[in-house]
Amino acid sequence: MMHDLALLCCAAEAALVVGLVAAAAVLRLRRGRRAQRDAALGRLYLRIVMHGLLTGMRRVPAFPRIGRTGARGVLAQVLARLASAAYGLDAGLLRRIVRTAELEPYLLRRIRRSGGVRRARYLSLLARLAPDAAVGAAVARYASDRSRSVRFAACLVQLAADPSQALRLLACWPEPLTAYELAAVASMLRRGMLPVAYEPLLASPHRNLRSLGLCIVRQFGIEEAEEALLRIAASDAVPEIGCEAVRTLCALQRPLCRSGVLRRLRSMGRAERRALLRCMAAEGYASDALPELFDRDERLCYESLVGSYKCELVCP
Amino acid sequence: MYRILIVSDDPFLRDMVRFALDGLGAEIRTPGDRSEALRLARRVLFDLVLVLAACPYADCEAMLPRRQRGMRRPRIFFVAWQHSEHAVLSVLDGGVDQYMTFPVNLQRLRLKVAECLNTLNP
Amino acid sequence: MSVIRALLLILAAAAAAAACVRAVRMLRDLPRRRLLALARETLCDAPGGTGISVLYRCDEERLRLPSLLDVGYACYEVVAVLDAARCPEVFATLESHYRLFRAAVPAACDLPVGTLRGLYRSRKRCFRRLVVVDRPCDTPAADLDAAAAVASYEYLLPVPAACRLVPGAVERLVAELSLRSHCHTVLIRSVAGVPAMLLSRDAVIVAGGFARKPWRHVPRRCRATLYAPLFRPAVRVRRRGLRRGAAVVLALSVAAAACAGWWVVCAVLLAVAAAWCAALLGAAASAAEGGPAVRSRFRVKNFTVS
Repeated sequence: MMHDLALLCCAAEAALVVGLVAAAAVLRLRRGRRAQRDAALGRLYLRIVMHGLLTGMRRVPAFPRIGRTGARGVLAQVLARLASAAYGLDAGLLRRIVRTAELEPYLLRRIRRSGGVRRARYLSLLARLAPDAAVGAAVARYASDRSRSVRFAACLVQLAADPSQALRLLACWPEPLTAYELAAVASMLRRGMLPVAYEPLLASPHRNLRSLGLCIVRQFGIEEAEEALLRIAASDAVPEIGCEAVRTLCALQRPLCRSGVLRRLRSMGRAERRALLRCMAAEGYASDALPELFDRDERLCYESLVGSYKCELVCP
Repeated sequence: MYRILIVSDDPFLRDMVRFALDGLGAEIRTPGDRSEALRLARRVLFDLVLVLAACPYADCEAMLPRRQRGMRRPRIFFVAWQHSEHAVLSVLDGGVDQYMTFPVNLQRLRLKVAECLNTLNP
Repeated sequence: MSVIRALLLILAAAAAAAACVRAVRMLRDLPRRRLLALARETLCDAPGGTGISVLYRCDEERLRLPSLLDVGYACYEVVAVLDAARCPEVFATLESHYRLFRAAVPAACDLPVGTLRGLYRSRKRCFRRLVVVDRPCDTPAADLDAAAAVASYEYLLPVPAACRLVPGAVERLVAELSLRSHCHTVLIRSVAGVPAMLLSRDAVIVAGGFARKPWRHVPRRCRATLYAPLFRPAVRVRRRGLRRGAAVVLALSVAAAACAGWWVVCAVLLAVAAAWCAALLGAAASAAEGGPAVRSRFRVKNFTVS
């Protein structure tokens, strides 16, 4: 019996070793050949697209070898990267390229046939290709996927397909948006894909919209939002949003000696207050500008933190 | 003819900007990576250096070509993903002439490069 | 004897299964890396302010600092610890290159720091994220405690010896922390490449410092494992001949054990081979994401300056 078990174990392990070696070899081969081919093809496609954009071409240029395996994927990646790195491009030409090369059906097929993170990646690519309403409707089914990254990527596609629904889609998002997701939405704003202003967001009753508003204020350094930030810091029902409002005020280097901030600080835990002290020291707040916000121990701690940013004139 | 050097570790961004600057009547070099670009910048006098997607918080002086004795210092444009004031000031303190952010308007970049080259004596 | 053989067989099977699971998880991480690579640039200015402090013990190789500082993420700093009395040349070079000034040592620290001779920051704006701590040479844990005590951010990433940061590692950690924000992650371990871990500052303080191995006190629900490398060895020594020789020796040993009918020995050797192949697969997966070395078709002409 032991002999049989040992034989079985050896056979299984030998199969595992062969499988692992084969997988490593395939990965190396893919890196060596396919990746180089994709890189060369991507460069060629980028040149063709850039030539079309800069010369104001009306007709869609021809893309060589577009029918080959993986070529449409390469073109989709090129257009997606171009869309994220540049703005003000001729959207009409890009739309015609996407339609003529049948990139949307290609990506929708890949999305249907894959799952998990792969599906999320294809959805993210699709979101950058300025999809139309039909594509937005086609991906609506993925809004209830098991994987959060798929659900969010599907939401991005719907946002890109119909920017007028942005507020509704984000308000209906069931979970609190993470910093990664907020950054993705903010990047769409930077590319001019979402016509959203910060004021209605900060005043919104929906948590995610307020989060997005704070993200926009912080990223764009909007000092005019100070009053709204103080209001949120003082009275927001969600503690995380209130703390984020205080940190945003700190990042904008606005005065913090306000009753609203004091109210929020009283509800913070010790670790959060210490973290805020470190942020304030890094932003350069003077220690005597904050007499009422912290207790005596915290003020001493803050003074030593501030001192650690200043030149020591008397060396021991 | 003017000489432009594009410095970036990202081949896509190098190619994108290179193709965007085609037709300006300048010779454009796009070395494979940053270290190769700096070696090239020591041997060749460039009129304009474009640094793409580099970290603005890193050692700017090590990243940029040094002024050669008796030679005109190349103009330096820095295009990065960071939008914060701290990033912009870090890079401008390091001797950069123009800071732009991604996503970049390629028409505007091309215009700025053309204006910069026009102000130089050939 | 049969008990020992049974135990060896069980261990070999467990090791092979663990190698298989690890390999599968590394392969499953590849699409996630590609997804996060799509959005890496947008994380540079990400809100939320999740900050990471890298803790670095300066050995003689000061050259690690430039690569550690070359990170695009905004809420990031490098706290370097060295003994200026033991390495005065290194310290002098750092002082002149980064234009350091001496700042006041914080009076109250959350961790035991021992003797701190000095705290230095840079006058240059671009090096504002560098902090240098001068203290007498001590154990690695004590040095890390001193670095953690002066760190500004809530997450700490100790740098393993003689290693450099993989490009995009910090952004990957920030993305993972963000995606797990609902479960208050305290520890992220990376098991690919050089083992490393990201710890929350509070966990280190509660444990009383790095000497108390704070990662052991972190509850399972607050831990996460990353199958992507954060660090790589700074100097890669290519020992292809040695590796091939070892592979040949292992293969011959397996064949000899099989021929001799020593199946338990054969199972143990195959388990070792499986673990090695899983490591190779992990290395191949990491290399696959580095991108191909595309040769530029445009040859650079060799000009001379007249």
